Amino acid sequence: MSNPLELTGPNFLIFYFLLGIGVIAGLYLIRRFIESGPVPQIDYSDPYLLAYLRGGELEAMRVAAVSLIDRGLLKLSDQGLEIVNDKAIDLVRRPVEAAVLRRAQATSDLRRFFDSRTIRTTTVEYKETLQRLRLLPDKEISRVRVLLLSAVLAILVGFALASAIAAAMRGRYNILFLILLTAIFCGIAIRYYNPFRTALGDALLADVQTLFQSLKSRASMIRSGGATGEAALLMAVFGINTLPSATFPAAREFEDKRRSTSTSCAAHGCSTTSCGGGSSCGGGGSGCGGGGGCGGGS
Amino acid sequence: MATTDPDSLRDLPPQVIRVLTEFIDASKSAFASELTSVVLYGSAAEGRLRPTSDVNVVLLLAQFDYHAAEALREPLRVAQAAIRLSPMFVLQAELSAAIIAFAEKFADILRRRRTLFGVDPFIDVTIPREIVIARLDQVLLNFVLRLREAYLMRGLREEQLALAVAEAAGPIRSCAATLLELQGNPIRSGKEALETFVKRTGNRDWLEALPRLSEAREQRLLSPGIAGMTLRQLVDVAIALRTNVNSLSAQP
Repeated sequence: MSNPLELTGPNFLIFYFLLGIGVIAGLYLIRRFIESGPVPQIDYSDPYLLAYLRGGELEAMRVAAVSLIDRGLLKLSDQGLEIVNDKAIDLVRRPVEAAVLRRAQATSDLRRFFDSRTIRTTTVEYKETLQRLRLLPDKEISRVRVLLLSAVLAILVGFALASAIAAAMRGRYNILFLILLTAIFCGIAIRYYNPFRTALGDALLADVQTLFQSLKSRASMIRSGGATGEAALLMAVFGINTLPSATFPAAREFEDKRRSTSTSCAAHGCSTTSCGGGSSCGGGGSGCGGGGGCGGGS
Repeated sequence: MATTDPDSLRDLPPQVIRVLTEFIDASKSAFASELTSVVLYGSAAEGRLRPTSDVNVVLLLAQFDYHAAEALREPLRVAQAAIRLSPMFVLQAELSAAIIAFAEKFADILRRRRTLFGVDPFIDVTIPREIVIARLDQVLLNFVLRLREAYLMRGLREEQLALAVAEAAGPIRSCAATLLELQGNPIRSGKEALETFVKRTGNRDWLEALPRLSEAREQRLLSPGIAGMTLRQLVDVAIALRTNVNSLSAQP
């Protein structure tokens, strides 16, 4: 095969296009390979752990709020979220539930409700548990992801630069398409190098969703009131929007309005205010942290 | 200590096997030697589990230690959510009384059961015939009264009537199976027992109503105008079952 840098015009662009696809696919496959492994056991009985795995800290907090409304410990009024009875704080078992109730004592403003360090602190334990099980990226996995991204960017930019220099030496300067292709491939690599969950986390979530498939199929039959754990588990595993709004009208206020295109805004640091309030999540792209972004998909 | 028989679950859906196995393990861990048997009964034991079916189990215990049972709370909630597990916790000392008090239910357990752990507590159990007859009559009468109420209370909402039909299908099938057993013609499957009974009556309308019971159970809806008629037919079938029950003698 001849030196690809000696290719010119459309021929080089085709080569570079194929190279870009190959490198991006390689990034994806290597990352999946490195992050995969035997699926660990986690505590299925804690809906907030499952909600965190699926959608991050904001999702865990939302599920907690809807669950508390369903149980009658929290109520959604025209003013916002209100605690029904101060004794409720002593009745709940999970720290995140107690934190949501305490927050309701302090503010009822739904738009700023989850923008609270106190509530977020109670979900740190979930994050650490999931990272320890390699279901979410820890420092080591994040480092490997950055290394992989660096290698991909080096290949893409390196080839483009070498080609541009070779073209310039031949007196050709029409490299606009090459710059465009390089920018597109680099953008894709940056966008997808750092998803919220690891490959193992995706596998475990798929496993849990299979386990609770029957619950999803009878979602319309689930009764409100919190006598069973069905509503909380359904929300945690499949999302708040899977709760029937006729039986759980308050859930509507907490649905992730970007659900059709995104999963884990909260996990990537989008504005919790706008997400919690139900209006569109601002930011997107770089605003959602490291370019990993809102578009992770579930 | 007796162990769980893995073959006893083989034909169930994988999720049911997994959740049920985990629940039995959690029960053994929580109750230790106090747990003597776990028995699966109903449609799961028959191998006819549908997505909307409950998974029914009897846990037979020497004692119910509340402190120990606390460890079973979370696994039970997960199992209930995942596979609709419906457990019955019965003490050995209560078993005879429970069999008498709920003779029709236990007649169904005797017909359709699998021992998942320990020894089969029902192996030598026979329910006195006169008690089964009396209890079956009571269950059918209660069934008729409740369906009449449902017909009026839910009658303006057809989808609610269809749900009432769906909820009634299991009990009336079980009653039919018990009746046929009392008549010396045992059929293990409640669905087939009801079909046999209705065929014997020669009533074509009732026979045509039977597939709608399955449809209501599976889809939770029936075509417009059908649910109310099906519910009325169910009441009539139940009354016919009662007439047959009342004609039975205490002696086989």
